[in-house]
Amino acid sequence: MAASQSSPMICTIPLSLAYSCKEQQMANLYGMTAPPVVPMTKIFEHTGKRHAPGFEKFREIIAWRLKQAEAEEVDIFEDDVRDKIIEYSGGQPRVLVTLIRDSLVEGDLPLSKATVGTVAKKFTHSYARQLREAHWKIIDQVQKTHKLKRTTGNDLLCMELLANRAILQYPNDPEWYAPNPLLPKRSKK
Amino acid sequence: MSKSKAISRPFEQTAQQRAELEALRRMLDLSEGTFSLSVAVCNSPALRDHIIEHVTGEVEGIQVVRVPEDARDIFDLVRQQIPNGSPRAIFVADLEKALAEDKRSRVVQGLNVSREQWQSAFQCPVVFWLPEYAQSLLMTQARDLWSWISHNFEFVSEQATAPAGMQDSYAGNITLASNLDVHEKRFRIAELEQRIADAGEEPQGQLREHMSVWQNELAYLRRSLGDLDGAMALYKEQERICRQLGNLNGLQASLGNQALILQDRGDLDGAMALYKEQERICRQLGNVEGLATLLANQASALHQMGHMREALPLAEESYELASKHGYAMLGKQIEPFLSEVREAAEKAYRQ
Repeated sequence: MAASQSSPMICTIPLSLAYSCKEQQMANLYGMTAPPVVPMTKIFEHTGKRHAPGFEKFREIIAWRLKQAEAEEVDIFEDDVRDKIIEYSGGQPRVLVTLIRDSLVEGDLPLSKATVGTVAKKFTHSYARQLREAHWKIIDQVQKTHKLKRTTGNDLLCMELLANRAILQYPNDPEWYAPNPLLPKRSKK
Repeated sequence: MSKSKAISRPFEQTAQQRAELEALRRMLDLSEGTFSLSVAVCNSPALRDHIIEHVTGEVEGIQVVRVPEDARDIFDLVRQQIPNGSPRAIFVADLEKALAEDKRSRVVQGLNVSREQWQSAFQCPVVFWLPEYAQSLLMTQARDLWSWISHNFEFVSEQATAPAGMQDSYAGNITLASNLDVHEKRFRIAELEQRIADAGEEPQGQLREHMSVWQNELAYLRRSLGDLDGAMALYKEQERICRQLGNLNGLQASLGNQALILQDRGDLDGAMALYKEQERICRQLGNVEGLATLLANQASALHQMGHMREALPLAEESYELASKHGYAMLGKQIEPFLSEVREAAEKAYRQ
């Protein structure tokens, strides 16, 4: 039905469908090689080195929003706080905006590291509440290898981690995965 | 959620929750007249209701919708209760009651599909009040709704578990606890209640000593908020544990606190009986500060009973002990009372 419409139409599909055998069937149906993925923006290399172009794009998003609000960066963020928020976002524009919005109610302007840290901690608490030991095994593996190894046994858990964005997918060349920077830090055993 | 961690500042978690209350108020102001979706996480129903009562008392026009156990469509329930437009804000409480395992999927599905309807029906902030487990459930099962959550307020303590509580070096510090404001006291009460519940019915080893300290502080906080029955029950439990452990210092404190409650209630004979047992223990232990305090309390009870002649020597001994042993603050507190008792006793002697 969608193919017969004259105006462009964008359908979003659930993650589990995108990661299923039906993905190729869907692509064929709509005449594409593969359904496009809206990616995370790479703000760090998987080696941990800052990826300047991605970081700069996120600074632009903030600058654009500040312009719309007729606000000056110096009045909104204390030193380095803007970049700290970008780091916490893991390259997710929605999380970037949510972190700033939540920080605005959490503390006074200009936003301090402590205020943003409190907001980030609440994200961390939320992850701590939902992750189970079985999830952590996969997360630890992703941390080490930057690959997501799906098996029949762990497929459901992998889908949960991707859906909750506990694991972030960076579809660069080659594609790689990383744990969300807001996940709780676990002491090494 | 909670992990054991040393507590670096007095009642740090309480202060954080106080800041969350300010953040909630700020959100209500910033989001006035526009739709926003927030979640307030709180494990203690008593604390949650206190915060809701306080905020709705302060900010006019907030409507509270309580979800009954048999609710299926939460949006429909809220719309039925708030049919005409947008109040100042909507608080949805007790949602967890409708999330029992057998009917959860329908409720969650309803929350997901109604996401856009909330926005079009209500031009005001909507806050879901949830315990931690329900938050986790919605995050994983009502992802569509969850992705619209713009603010998260946490009225939970990271130090609410028994192991974390054992690291709390400020626990039982009544002077610090007395400086907390009414909301902070409620936050601290919820934290201590969870710790005590986490420790279980019959804690063993060191945990029992900590339990006694937590119970004492919790009882003090309850008493300071006027919950005398709740405080009394805790002091009695503390007395039971202290007797079992042979902890005489804890026992004398518990007896003294029970006596104060009886005195507040007007049961002066009951209070005196407990003070006498406390006095015997304090003398046995050589606990001068405890003795000075309880002698003043005994004098106060006798003063209330009209036994001025008996009250005077106790008040004098109390003042003397405090002055001689360097308890200047205590001495200052006793001094005006001593003058009052002296005057009343002299009057009694003249008659």
